[in-house]
Amino acid sequence: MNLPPALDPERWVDEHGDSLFHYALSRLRDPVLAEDYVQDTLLAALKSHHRFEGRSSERSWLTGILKNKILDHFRKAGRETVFTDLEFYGDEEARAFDNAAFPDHWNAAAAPTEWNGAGAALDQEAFWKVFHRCSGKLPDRVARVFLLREVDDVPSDEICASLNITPNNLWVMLHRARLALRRCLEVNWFGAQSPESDEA
Amino acid sequence: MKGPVKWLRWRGILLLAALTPTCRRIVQLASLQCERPLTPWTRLRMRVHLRICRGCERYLRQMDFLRAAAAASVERPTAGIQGHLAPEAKDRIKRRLRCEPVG
Repeated sequence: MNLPPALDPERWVDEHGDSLFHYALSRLRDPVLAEDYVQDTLLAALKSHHRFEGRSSERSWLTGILKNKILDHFRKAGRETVFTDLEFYGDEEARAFDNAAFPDHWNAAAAPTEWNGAGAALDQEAFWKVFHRCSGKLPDRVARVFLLREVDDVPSDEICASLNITPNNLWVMLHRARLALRRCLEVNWFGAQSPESDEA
Repeated sequence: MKGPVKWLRWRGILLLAALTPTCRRIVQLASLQCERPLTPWTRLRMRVHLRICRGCERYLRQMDFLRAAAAASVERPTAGIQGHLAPEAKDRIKRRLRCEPVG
């Protein structure tokens, strides 16, 4: 028999509070706001718990509510935010393809190196520290679209509508985020033994 | 191999290299193809490029890895990096939840 556990919202706080807070903080980057959103999420969950059918885990159900609340937040805030961080890591692209002999081909020093043990990395706690540190370095707006697109799998047109940006804006930000993250992981994880690890 | 055959083969490789997009473009296309389908012609030129360019071939494999890592990262909140909900915050939220009529 698979009876749903007795309704105990305080248990949610203990069991999922950290995870939800981490999720909110990585997107909102404001601990006070993140705490508010965790609370709002649990209040909303309390109101609609009868709609939770146990098809997904409790945590992903709660995370889903939180995700929609954060998207709403962006939707409201989107129109006020000034666009300033698009230039971020523009220089990574310039650096990577700085090649005198063959313009726009890889610069020998910046070309991707072989990533050994990439598969095993996902199981290592230390890798996730590096991963979160790298994504934490992305400017707010860039991190936001990257997390929505790649982590939450929100469709591009929905992101554009929520954040009030053009598809081209979105594409450029995603592209820069990928270049920057790739570089950051290569330097700080896959090539950690090389002397060039100053970009942490 | 005879001289002229070798010469022709080299000409072929150089020609292919000249016909395919630059590495900068390949890397952009790798991002673009997540947003919208590329034309068959572009896909073909991209495939040819990836056969001869190790840097781009690695880059694309690393993008697959990055995507997998990003998708998996939801389940991996890392201790100490982003911070946890402070005990006082947990108490605050619990208190608030207690006041809420159950729907």
